[in-house]
Amino acid sequence: MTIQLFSKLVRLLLKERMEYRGDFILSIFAQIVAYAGDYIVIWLFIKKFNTIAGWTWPEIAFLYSLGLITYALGASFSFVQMRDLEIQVKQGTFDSILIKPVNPYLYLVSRGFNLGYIAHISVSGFVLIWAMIELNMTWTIGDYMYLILAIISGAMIQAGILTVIGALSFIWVRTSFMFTLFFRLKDFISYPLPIFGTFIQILLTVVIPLAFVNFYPASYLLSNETTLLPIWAKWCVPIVGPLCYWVGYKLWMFGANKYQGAGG
Amino acid sequence: MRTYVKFTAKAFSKQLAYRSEVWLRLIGNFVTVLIQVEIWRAVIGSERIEGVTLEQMITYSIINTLLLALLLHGISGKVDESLKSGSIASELIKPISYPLFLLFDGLGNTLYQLVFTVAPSLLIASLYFGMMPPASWTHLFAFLLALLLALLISFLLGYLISLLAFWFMNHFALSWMLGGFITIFSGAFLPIWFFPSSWITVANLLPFQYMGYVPAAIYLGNITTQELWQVIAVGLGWIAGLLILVQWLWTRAVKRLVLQGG
Amino acid sequence: MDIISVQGLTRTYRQYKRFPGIMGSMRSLFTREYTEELAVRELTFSIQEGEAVGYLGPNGAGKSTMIKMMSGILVPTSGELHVLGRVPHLARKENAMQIGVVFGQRSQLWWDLPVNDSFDLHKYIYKIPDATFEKNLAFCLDMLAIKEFIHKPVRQLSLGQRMRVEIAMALLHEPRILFLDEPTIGLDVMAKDQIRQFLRTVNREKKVTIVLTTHDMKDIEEICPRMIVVNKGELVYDGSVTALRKKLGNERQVVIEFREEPGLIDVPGVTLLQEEGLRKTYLFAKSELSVFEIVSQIAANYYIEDVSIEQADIESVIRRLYQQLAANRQIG
Repeated sequence: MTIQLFSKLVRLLLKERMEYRGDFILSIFAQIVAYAGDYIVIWLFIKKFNTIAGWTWPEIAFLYSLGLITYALGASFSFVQMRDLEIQVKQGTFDSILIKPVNPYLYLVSRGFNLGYIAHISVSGFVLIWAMIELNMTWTIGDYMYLILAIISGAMIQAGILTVIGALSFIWVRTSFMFTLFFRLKDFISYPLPIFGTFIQILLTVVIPLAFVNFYPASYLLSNETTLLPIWAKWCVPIVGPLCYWVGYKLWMFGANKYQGAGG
Repeated sequence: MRTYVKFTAKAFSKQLAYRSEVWLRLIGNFVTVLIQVEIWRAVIGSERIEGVTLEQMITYSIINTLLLALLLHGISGKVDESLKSGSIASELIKPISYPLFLLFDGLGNTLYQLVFTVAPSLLIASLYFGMMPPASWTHLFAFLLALLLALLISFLLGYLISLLAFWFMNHFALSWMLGGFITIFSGAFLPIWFFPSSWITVANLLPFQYMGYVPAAIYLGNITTQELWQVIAVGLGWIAGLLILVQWLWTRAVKRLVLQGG
Repeated sequence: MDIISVQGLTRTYRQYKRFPGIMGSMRSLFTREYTEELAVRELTFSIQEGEAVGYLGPNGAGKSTMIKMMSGILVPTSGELHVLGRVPHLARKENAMQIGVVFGQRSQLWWDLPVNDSFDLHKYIYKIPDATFEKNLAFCLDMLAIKEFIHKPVRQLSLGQRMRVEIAMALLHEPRILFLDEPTIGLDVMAKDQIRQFLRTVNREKKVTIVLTTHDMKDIEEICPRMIVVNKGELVYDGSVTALRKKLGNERQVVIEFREEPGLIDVPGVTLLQEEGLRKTYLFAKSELSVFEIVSQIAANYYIEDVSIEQADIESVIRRLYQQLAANRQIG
């Protein structure tokens, strides 16, 4: 997999989408409306109650948008690809990838790169920037760098988890329920984690590190306390992502080898 | 009538095959309620906000979450599937009303959810979080009526989307868009009594509040006995209005279908 | 130099017992009950560069499994397998550059995009230099007559057109070996002809080694001078097509419905296969006389109500082969 190959694939994927242009535009519009709905509910809530666990509206908007943008980035490289892997394995279409002189994971992920998340990214990016302006934070270049690294890391955490679930379809074959579990757990990180108690916070820090996606980076950047992690753990955030992704990748390749050994 | 009930029974038994996913839905419901409860706890605590207590909000969240499982969401998806697979042709040929077929089929799924998901979830939720009893017998009765209204309205909205999909060709996007409005105006998370007044006005002009807020508010007694019947009457009005809209679109859609050569 | 060398190759599948439901999925983590199925059983053969070999067998004979092992997708359970001098599953990427695979049932093309977009992508994936790409493309466009629809989206092509495009694409990177898994299945006669002619040319002129699995004897006859027949994972025949035809090829199944019970028909080369009352199925071995002449002979002595003639299909040819093999084992 090279950059040229990837950009070629993206060009073709875009061309494919444009074949159904009206559809694509309608989807984008629908996503914007749908996510606007989510934001508006939270905004109305805070209008009434002023804060949630000490977090103001711009802070909550920042937290939520960080979660959404990292999801969109990570999922565009993983969700649909991993979800459909189960079908590909069943129908044998996965073999067509193994024929090619490319890394099967990278090709699967690139070939299925999902342009549909553009709306998520636009909306959440817009609100993220708005929140940053509203909050009037005096950030250094280091802080901005931290934010970018946190976004990349957050995307990688989610892509990594989704990849692990995909890898399981080489072994278990029925994985759709795990995706639902993932989305249920992800609901927690839309809100400040301390309100859910220590158990959830530990679960989402140590077992399935979703807290590193947005809660810890937002806490550090907004100077709120994170209750569980000390200050020096700030720089763990950009590390968790690549670690997660690496684990997911390794597990996936292990699964693919099993597929070749145990038979399709 | 008996034929339609058969459809309900058939849909019910079809869902039985997915029994193993019940526990997943139970966890899902639990998590959803948990998240809402903790947020309300953080924000209300032991106080009263506009006369509303935490216990009331907990009951509100439970009702809304479980109601969601009962509503007829899958209508537009089912129609889309029929269109894609071509089975729509055989379904339309039969000497039955297609919309009624969809309704009763959807109710089969609702019944299944009621028995296998909602009942156990209700038990778990009331044990773990605590659930308030209905405000009075009248309110309980009106609550059940409101549930029926919610089911019918959700069905009509889903059917409306299927019809619109005849022109837009994409039921999923339309459904998603509608979902955005429902998220806000059904009051599923934030009850309408907490809305700013201008938003309350808008909410009252839309049918979505019947899909979450109204049944829950009736149950809790926040809608008084005087207002009760008015609210239900308006709900019925919405159903009538949607029926007319749907019927009109149906005739237009059939014309379009015929023009396109089926 | 053997381009493909297979020695005592075996491939077993584990069929894991599936438990229903979600508790079942959890259970299968801890208990693993399975049955072992033999898809390929101690196969031995070798193929030289430039050969065109037909790989035949009834369904479930292990043909696709063999192709998958040779192309590096599947790992053999035991035995030795070398393709292009390497072990396929260990050298998957290197071999992939020099191998082309066409699946009859699965498309590798982009459904909604014009054909040449798929070709273009192929060029990037296989890192084909411009000049080579243009040359090979021109060759395929010409020989397969696909120029007219190269700008059409794949979804608008007929099955025959699509198959031609798939084969063309598989050759764009100049593979030394071309594997084809049932390429002519479901095609009309004209399309089959076109493809067979093309593959023959590719093999004879471009010296591309071809390994072709099929149900269709005609594919073999037109393209492959040599054929390997497998049944239930075992090698049943490995040799030239003409030799096999001499042995069994022109057998015919003839169903004769008599007016009265004829008793034993004593005509050389005519064997009774089965009977249903007055309706009897005979196997006519290859002989000097035509089927017509033999039937006339019979008709001269018995009243015949109805006759129907079927060419022995591949299934029965193979069954006969297998029976002979078993018979030879018993004798020798």
